[in-house]
Amino acid sequence: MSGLIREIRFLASDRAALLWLGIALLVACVSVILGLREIAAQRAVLNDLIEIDYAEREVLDTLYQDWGDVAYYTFHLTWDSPSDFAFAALGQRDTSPWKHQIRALALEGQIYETDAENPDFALIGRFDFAFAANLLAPLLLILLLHDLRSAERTAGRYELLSATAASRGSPWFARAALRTGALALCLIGPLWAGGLPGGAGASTLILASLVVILHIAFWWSVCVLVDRYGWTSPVNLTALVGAWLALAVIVPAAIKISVEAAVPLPDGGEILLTQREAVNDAWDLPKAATMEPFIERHPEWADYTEVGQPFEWKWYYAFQQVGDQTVEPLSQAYHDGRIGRDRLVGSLAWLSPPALAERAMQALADTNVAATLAYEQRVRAFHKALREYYYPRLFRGEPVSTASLEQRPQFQGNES
Amino acid sequence: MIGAIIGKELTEIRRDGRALGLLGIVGLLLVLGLTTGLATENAREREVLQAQADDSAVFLEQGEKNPHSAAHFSRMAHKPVAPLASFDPGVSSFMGQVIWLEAHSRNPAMFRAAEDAPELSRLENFSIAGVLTLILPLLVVLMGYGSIAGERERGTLRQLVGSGASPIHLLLGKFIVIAGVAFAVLAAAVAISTSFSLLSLSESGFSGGDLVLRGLSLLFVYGLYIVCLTAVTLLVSMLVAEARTALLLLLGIWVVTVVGLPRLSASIAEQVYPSPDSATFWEDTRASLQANRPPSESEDYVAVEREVVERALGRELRVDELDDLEINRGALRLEVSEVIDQEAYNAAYAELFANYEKQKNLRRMLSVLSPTIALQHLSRAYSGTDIGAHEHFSLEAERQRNDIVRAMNEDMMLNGAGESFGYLSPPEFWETVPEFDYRPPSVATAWSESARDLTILLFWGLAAMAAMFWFGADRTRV
Repeated sequence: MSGLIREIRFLASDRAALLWLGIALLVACVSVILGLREIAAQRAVLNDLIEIDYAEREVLDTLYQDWGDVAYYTFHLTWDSPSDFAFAALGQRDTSPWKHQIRALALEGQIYETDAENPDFALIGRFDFAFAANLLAPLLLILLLHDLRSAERTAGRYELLSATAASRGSPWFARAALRTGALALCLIGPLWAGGLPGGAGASTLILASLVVILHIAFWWSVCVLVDRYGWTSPVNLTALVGAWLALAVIVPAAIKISVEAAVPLPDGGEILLTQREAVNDAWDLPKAATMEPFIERHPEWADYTEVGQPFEWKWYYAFQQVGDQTVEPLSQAYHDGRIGRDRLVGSLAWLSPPALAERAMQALADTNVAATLAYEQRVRAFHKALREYYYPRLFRGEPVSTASLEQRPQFQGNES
Repeated sequence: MIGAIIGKELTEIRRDGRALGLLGIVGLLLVLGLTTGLATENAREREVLQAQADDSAVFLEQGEKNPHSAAHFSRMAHKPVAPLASFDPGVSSFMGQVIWLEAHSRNPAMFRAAEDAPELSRLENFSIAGVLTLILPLLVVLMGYGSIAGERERGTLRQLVGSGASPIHLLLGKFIVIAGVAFAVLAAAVAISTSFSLLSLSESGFSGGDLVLRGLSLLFVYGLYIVCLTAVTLLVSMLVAEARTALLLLLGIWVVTVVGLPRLSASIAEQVYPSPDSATFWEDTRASLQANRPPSESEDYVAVEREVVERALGRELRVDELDDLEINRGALRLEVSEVIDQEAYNAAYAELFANYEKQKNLRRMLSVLSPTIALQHLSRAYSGTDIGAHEHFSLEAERQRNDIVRAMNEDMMLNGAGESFGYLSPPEFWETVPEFDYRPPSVATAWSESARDLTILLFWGLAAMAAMFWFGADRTRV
């Protein structure tokens, strides 16, 4: 116990160490506050949009007497609510859309819409807790631990201190453990302080804390490893920063390049062009050329395929669907490729502990690629439900009624 | 005397394995960055050219068709690969690459490469600019942290000053060597990158002179960054007693100003001036389109009708001529709505880009704390990969959309009288619809748009140099 108190006093007298710990605390607090504010803003936007969405539909439902018009003019908001832990790792939420307005038209032209957020910030990345804990904290730990022994060696006290210690290595272990623990506390403290009132579950916070501790422990072991060589403090520091560069920047970059080369994706523009071509061609093709592939997918409407007028809504929506059908193989390959890339990155991330920790945080926060793709699938399922709702009404030529409109599918969010 | 000091410093760097090691790593990373950058951008350029060719073929071969139907199908505007994207890809991957030039609607750019890319931490967005911004400071720090503090510790500083070296000459010699080595690395990176981009110019259509000027501009601003880094490194080395303390402090400054602050500034800017979400943006745009449309009997509407018909005929109409003209009235309504909606679309997009500019201005203010932020702005602007470059493309694509939709509406209006929407344009008509011949802005635009960033970086360079020499005169006197 007295040893611990002595080490605490020693730490309290080390101004440089206090500076790095102070920076760690500040960085963690700022990242948590910014993350919470960002998620609060996203929730506020969603609440407003959901309200507007319902209100607009109520107005539109009174305007049109034809199901074709109703389906054409009615937008439906779909969204991916942030989890209560998303504040800590914003992940893909600044590069991939988390809300779409969908109509019963061809989906492929709608689902790849780009959001209006500043691309500069997407490039730079967010200053969230995951960044603070996974990229900045190892550097601060390096600054804290790099000269524990080497400084004493340079000062000529190392042998004396080691010889007079109760057990060999113990003062260094206690000193390093205290600094590592203090750094972990500086990070985890603000995480819990912001996370608990923000609604994050204790189990998620425990798992996130474990990720932080394990990651920091990894860097502690790297510091110990480098220290074994008995180099001077500047050499230790250089070697450790070099290790950080290698593991946090170079290895992830190499992984990214290799994965992109190993798992090619169809060009996104090709999906849009092909779908657009199919939809546009339909205007000039005989009606049967649209209805035949449509009926292959929907045999239940085989008795309703006759299109007597130059324009009929059922034919219009049929060719919208046929447009989607045309690009299905491309769209599926695009989807599968993204999953394939993510899986491969997941395996290779073990080569880079900072990247692995980042992925773990994003998984806990539901802000990873899997969450993005799951949202996309929810949008597709909702769009399918919309079509299944409209088709009977369009093909049978039913009149628009309030009772029928009330049966229209509503997008179910993923609110936690 | 300076020559002797430079010689001595070079020898010390040669003997310091760490500096040479890091120099080797930086060189390796630059080669890796250049190779991957060129491979990525060349592949993207090939894709763009192929997609343009496909789009053109499909449009030209659509045969006999109603022009309004064709205006819905319309064309795609593909953003060309920026002149020095292999040096600094900037926001290219985070902005859409293709704009659908559809009738009635100014669409946003679609398909961001970043959505397809595997992601680990965002720091791995590897490029020559990234290596220079993140790792070049480390090289400078390693070469310079012990320059004064180390000499003082070893007692050689006293010897040097005692042998007649003036403090200013001493500092200048050390400065020239450290900054010179870093600048040599920079110059090689910029020269190779610019040369490779010049070689692929024939396909992209950019001007060679503009590319060279962009390369020189990058050399200048990154050179200023090196001046800053070297002066700050020598300053810290002068102010502290021990070399290890200098290294510790300098690495701390690097962590905060190079790794931390650029991201923090972006998060702060996003919170102070939040970007509109796309759903709200489109809601607002639709509302303003509605509000901007005058009733079809109003004077304003009739004035636009006259303007549209006069433009199509290429002459002024007599007072009562409009009502008697034999034209396709449906096509006239379509073109009038295009003209009226342009204003609302332009205002909505102008507001969006103005918000980006406000965010950028706030980051500029924060670059008083970190020159890296100003450098990032300058690097992307000179490489042609910043938001300004994208805005230019977006505006030109919109101009093209207006032109081609107008061409199709006018064909139907003038040649489809009495046929309503049954009119079909002949197959050869599509050849007359103008192609999108996009000319990106020149480097002069980048210079004027990023003048404030350059001022900030210049200020940083001058302030750091002044501080170094100011304190240097005293602190090197032992």
